This record gives sequence, structure tokens and C-alpha cells, in this order.
Amino acid sequence: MKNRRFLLVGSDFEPFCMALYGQGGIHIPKICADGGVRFAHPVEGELPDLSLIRTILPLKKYLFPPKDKVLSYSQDNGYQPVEYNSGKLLIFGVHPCDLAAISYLDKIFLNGEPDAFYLPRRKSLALIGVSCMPDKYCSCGDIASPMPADCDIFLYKIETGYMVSCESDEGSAILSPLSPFLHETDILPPESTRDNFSLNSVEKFPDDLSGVSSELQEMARSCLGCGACSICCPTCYCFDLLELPSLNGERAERFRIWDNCLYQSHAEVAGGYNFRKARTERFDYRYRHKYLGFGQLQGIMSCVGCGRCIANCPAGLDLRPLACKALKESSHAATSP
Amino acid sequence: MPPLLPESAIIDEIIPQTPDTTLFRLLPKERVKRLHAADFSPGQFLQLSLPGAGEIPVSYCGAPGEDGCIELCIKKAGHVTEFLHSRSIGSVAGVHGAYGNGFPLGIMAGHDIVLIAGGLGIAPIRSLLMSLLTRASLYRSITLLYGARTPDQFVFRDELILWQSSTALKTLFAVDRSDGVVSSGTLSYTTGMLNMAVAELSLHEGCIAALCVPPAAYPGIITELKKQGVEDENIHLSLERRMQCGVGRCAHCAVGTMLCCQDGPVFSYAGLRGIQGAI
Repeated sequence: MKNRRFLLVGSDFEPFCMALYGQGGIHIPKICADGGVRFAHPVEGELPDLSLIRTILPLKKYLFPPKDKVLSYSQDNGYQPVEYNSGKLLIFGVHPCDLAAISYLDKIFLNGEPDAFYLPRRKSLALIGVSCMPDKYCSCGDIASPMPADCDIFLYKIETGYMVSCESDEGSAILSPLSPFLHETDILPPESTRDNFSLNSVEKFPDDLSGVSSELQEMARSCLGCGACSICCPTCYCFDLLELPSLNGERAERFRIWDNCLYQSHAEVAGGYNFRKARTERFDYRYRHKYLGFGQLQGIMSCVGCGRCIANCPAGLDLRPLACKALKESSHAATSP
Repeated sequence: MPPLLPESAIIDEIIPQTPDTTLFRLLPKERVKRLHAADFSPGQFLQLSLPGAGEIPVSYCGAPGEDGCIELCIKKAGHVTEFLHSRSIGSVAGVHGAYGNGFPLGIMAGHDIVLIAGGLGIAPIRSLLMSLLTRASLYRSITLLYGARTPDQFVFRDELILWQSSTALKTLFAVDRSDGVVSSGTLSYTTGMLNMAVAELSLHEGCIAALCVPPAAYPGIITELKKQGVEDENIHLSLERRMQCGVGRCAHCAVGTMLCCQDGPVFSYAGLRGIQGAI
């Protein structure tokens, strides 16, 4: 079924979902009891709410949990890696921006020697994407990520239901038993849903941010340093390592925990020297990381335009106008004689 | 071996240098094996684990050798290093590495070499110096300038005395303040900031400088080096940053858009020009 497209009529959506749920572990976007929008287990008969625009946390919570035990130490065996084994988990209803974010995280954690803790989790995920319409916080239309929105199955919303596109062998294995609900088609998905994400994709952000430095400084002065933007960002991945001993000192466990570049301790070294003591320096660091990329990912913009940072910023900061200005100035500079 | 997994080593020797700084010699726990982390070049670093305390990046301070011994000169400055100083001979440690880019030994032959260390910056500089001294005749000249805050804070004192009387290199030791101490064994030193001591060296074009000094000391020293005609491409700096993972994934140690753990910790000054916050 790979690389083929099918129509799923609206009246078949519920039985399609129920049959899908029957295949094993599945998480869907839903409004939880506390009012928060999350990817979580459906309760009996609950359908995914595909009208929800953004979950509180993106999918990095599955691939790179906030606190992850990575090593255990014992006097007899020294340090040993913690093995992670889990069955397949299907995530249904992932928007293109969140899929692109996974493509970015894959570059961080799988390029070169794959990260031993990310890899098995990544392999255990199957992804069903769904098209969406951006809201006021999204920036996928203006400054879209160059990352591909790869997934196993993608659902395009159309008037009569969904167009289901099978994107991988795994997607094929998932869809095969669901074929009674699917009617093959060679019609292309409508423009509005197909291209909304990849429109205006930014291949390379300008290296020189000097044209926006005064705006950046101004914005940094309003930043509260709470780190909410980084916590909810689908491509923020920086981590700290924390080791906890047993009381008798014979055993220890090492955890990888989410860190945050807006926190004061992020650049502090032994002896107390801090390379980014000022909040404005930390704000600048985050901005540069997002738009310019570090190390092997230099030149790859990691903002996927999901809008979580804007929706969650208590100071109401919005980097989009700044990013747009930087892009505009660089394209202007490129075209002027 | 999976990355980030420490190999088991034991502390084989503990040689106090100052009240808060100690030289530790590590060997593999299983003596027949060689630690992967024992293969390095001067200027690289390893990640040192103390079970129950955690992991820290540390520069090698010895020369890479056939004995597979790892030398680390460590100051009590945080909870891992405090814990390390409470350990005794035979205690277990974990190591993994080597990481990062070291000093460019390959381009140094035939040149005047000046090594500048401030405080514990002597650790990677000693590693480089020991490597240079194994084939000293390859280099036009070798000069070591080492500054400490006060005379009692010089580490590797016995070696400093030997180097001071050696014909293979010139030495200049400086202290920020002498605190009324007029002599310190047979070690001679001047009083004044490191950049003032650099001004006293007579360097010229073609000289290659390798530096590891506290962050605040870099600008003054680089200005002096450039004044004396040392070219940006020939100034090599070992930068310190918070490096949690060593493999370019934890995103703490960026210098501009480069990563200190992978693109450094040794950078040429030419590569750092114009990068805000680099030095």
C-alpha cells in the first residue's frame, strides 16, 4: 500500500479508529480531565480530536523524556546502560510541524553514533500525521522548517472525510487490515492541505543577525527567563546529567534531565564562572540556536512554527516578526547590486 | 562500547599540588586492558565519572604514553571534584573520551612556540609541553609562560624547577600578587598580570602561541600577542565551557554556532574572530 492514497469517508472514521485502536498501544490528541491538551491514551470509544491545534508538550516527551534513567552503577559491574524495551506505540493525529520536529531530533540523536536511549524509543513509535489549518500562533506559512514532515501514514482533511496516504512499509502494515474502510484514489490532495506546511520553506537562515540585534536586545529585556518556550518547544533538546547515589554509596543511578538555556545555571562552570550570566545573553543563545543551529546542524533552522513558545510565553514574546525581518533583510541584501 | 558509557578505572596515585589542587593518575581497573580514553592528543578532554557524584569534563594534563596512564590535575571546585578529593588510592572512577580537537601539533615543527598558561590552564599546556619536549629539536624554540594568582598556587612545582633550569625551553613564571612571599623554593617568578609578562617576551611573526588561561585574561593576552606580530591563525586557545555530554548533543557549550566539545576546545583565534562572547 506504500505510496498509495485512499479515501476514508467521514462516516467510516469512527469504525476506522476503533479498528486502529485494536492494533495495540495508541495515543491520540485529547482534552484531558484537567483541561490540558495532550497526546494520551483514548478512553473506551473515545475518538481523536483532530480539531485541536497544539498539545502542551510535543512528541519529544516520548523520545526523550523529561527525566530518563540512562546508567546504573554497582560496585560489581561498574556503570551499565539502562536497557529500554517497549512495545509499539502508535501516535495518531500529529501535525506536520511536530513531524518535522522529529526529523530534526533524529538528526541530533541518530546522526553519527546513534544515541542508545533515543534510538529504541524512536523505533517503537509509529506516526499518523494529519493536516491542519494554522491559527494565530503558527508560523508554518511564513517561515517553514526545511525538515521533512515524515510519518508512516498521513491524513489529509477533505470535505467528505480524509484522504489517507500510506508513507512507509510500517504504514502499509497498519493500513492493510483497515482496507475495508479505504477506497484507493489517484486524486491529489487539495492544495490548501498539501502545501500549507512546505510553503515558503527556509533552506538557510541568514548567518548575520546584526540587522535585528537591537530588536533582539529589546525583546530579551522583557524575557522573564522562565524557560516555558524551551520546555514546550518540539526541537529544544538540551539536557543535563544528574547522578544520584544510594545511601550506602554502593550503587548509583544517572539520569538525563531536560535542561533549559534560559536558566542561569546553563552556562555556569566549576568555580562559579558563568559564560551567559545576563538574561539577554541567554535569550540571544536560544534565538541563535533556533535559527542558526549549532555544530553539525549549523545552518539548519530548527523552528518548525508550531507556535507553542508564543502561546505559552507569560511575557507575550513573539519571535516571528524578528525572524521575518532577518529573512527579509538577507533576501534584500542578496538581490541588491 | 556504547558512547557515554564510562570505562572502569582506578585511582593509582594521588599527588597533592596545592591545598585545593591534586594530580590524579588513573589506570584501567583490569590492568591487562588499555582504556580507550588513554588515547588522546594534548588539548583534548575526557569525561570523568565518580560513582554517586556524577561526571565532569577534564583536560588531560599528561603526555599520551604507552603505559596507558591518564593524568588529571583537578581543583576542588564543585561537588564532583570535592568528592574526588575525598577518594583514596584504589578508588574506582569512570572515564570516557577522548573528545574534542587538541592543539595543532602537526603545524608546530620548525616554529618558535610560546605556551601561555594561567591558573589551572597549566593542565592542557603541560600535556602539550610534555609532547613537544619528547622531540624538542623539531621546534625552533619553546617558551613557557605560566601565571598563578599567588606563589603557593603554582602546580607541578618540581617540574617547573626542572624546566626552569633546562636548556630545551625558556620559562617565565608570574604571580598576580606575591602576598609578601619573597621566594618560593628555587622557583623564580615575577609579579604582575599575565599580559604584562607576555609584553616582556620578544616574539615575532611565525611564532605559534598555545594558550589556556582564565576567560577574563584572554583579551589582554591576545592584544599583547598581536602587538608582537603573532598572527591570528597562529594563536590557539583552549576554551572552557560547560560540556555535559562531550559528543555535541547536550547543547550547552556553543561558541557562536560552533560547539566547544566538538569544534574545540582548542580553537584558532582566526576562527573565533567576530564571534560574540567567544572570548
